[in-house]
Amino acid sequence: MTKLKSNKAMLAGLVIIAFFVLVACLADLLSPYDPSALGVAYQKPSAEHLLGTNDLGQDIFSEMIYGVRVSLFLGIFSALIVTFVGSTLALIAGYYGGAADRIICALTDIAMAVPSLPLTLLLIAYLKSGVFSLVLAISITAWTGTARILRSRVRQICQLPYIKIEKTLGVKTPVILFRHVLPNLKDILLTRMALSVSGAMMTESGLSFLGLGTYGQKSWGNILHFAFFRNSILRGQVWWYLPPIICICVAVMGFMLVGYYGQQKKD
Amino acid sequence: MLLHVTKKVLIAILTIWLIITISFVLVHTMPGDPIIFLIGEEEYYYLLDNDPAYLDQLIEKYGLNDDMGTQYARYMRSVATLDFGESYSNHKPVLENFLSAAKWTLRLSIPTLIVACFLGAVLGIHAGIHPGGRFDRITTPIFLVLNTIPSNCLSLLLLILFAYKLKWVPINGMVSPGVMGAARTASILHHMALPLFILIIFRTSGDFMLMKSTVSQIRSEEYVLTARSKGIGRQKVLFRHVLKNALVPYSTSLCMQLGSLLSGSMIVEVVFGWKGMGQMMYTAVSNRDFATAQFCFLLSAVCVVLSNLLGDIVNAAIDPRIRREAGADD
Repeated sequence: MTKLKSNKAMLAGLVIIAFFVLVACLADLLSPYDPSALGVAYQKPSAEHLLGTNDLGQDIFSEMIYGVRVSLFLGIFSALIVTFVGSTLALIAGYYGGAADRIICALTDIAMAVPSLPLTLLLIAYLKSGVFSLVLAISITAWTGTARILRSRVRQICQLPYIKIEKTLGVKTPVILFRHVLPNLKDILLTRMALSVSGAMMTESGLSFLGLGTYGQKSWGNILHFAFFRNSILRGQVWWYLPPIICICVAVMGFMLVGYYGQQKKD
Repeated sequence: MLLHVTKKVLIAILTIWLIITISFVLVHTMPGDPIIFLIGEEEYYYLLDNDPAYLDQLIEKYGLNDDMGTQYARYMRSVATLDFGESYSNHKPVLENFLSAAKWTLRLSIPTLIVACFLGAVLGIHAGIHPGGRFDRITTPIFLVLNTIPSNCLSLLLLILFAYKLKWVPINGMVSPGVMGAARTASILHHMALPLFILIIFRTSGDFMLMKSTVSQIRSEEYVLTARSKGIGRQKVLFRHVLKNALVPYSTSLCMQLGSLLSGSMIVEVVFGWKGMGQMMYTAVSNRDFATAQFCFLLSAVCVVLSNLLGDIVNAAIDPRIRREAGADD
């Protein structure tokens, strides 16, 4: 705990994440209205509608609260996939070495060369839009960084005497990998994952802002999309366009702080 | 050296071939009839209801009944001859649409690259040479924050501030209608000021982070300490020992940035109504104009591969360690 306190930036990040997770869990209790219920359009903020209503008369405050769920879910789910794929490949490459290592490294190099935003867009054009397509499109090129960093770490660990001894003693591979290698990667996995979440949330907010994200379920990026393309800026409806901008920035920042400063602390 | 470069060139060619193949496979494995991707969704459903015979004719014309091998060969031939089909939004060849869009994107991305390269380097060196110093403590958090703000958020915030509130710059578009000559150039410059500024901020923050971390790493190397303890002046050590080494990763990264010259500014282009490559790809994807979308993907992929290749070659050319290592390796 003292280590954590000494690092204020990381603590701030954790507080931000905890806050949004709490809001996501309590969305049903916190939001005064059903975010999809229609009403009187373009109302100004008032006691009934804290942030006014949008072009369809939906309560923006409730939309924002339910938006936490969608944005967080997409970010965390994509990051889980990225981390899972990246660390699996890293374990195989780092532990077995040789041909497996060369193939995985070549694969990583190629995936790194594919420009991620155009590929993401192309996939979205081909796939039917939905949560699954969005997660796939976000994570398809994002695993490379994690895979590369973890691979070199796994290789280092596998050179350590105790792993070598275990190999010689004939301890089963899964036991070595999951009981002795993986626990050593815990810190780096968590920081990489926090960075992946912030990256995925940035991509998602960009795609949803362009109107290429999920339909039906509204993330913050989606709210911003409607605010921008329905001319809320021209009409001066600050309460409509500003909250999603602030929430996206703060949430992305929270995960980034944990990832960036967590990594530095290790160094 | 030659062997090293040849190897890299071969890998680049292989990667480009793979990318072209991936985009072929995508069309043929995605859910739905491949003809949809050639003529577009609306046209397809219209024909399906009203003129199925013509639809069959089209399928025959595009050779979708042939076996995969023939189709693949035909596809590779059309890519090799730069025949990317026709955009169905304005029925012009995709290549023609691209050339007019690319011109506008380059007007933003080339100045961005040049300005950010210098700004990032100068500020990064200052912050990296005294890590924890006052300059570092101020600039690093600023750039870290700028680096994390999603580009749609920053673009909107600055658009609201400078275009709507202060009215310093136009809200949208690239040039005022009906102006010619020098007035037209001035109008373009006026329109591009804000998007350019935003792109420069993002690029600078990335360059700054790279330069700062490289310089602060090199600064603690033993040879720098040795040079200082021999009594060589601060300035001389900075230029001779630190900078010379820091420029290796920096120039590699600059080469790699060339790859995003055409496709790196999509969201900014959309927000500011800048009719460049990013806008073109965005419109293509939202209208399901597959010929254009696929072309944009191929083009940006090839650009990235080629610029990575350039980065590798420049790296090997200026860093003798890599040259030797690669020589021993092969």
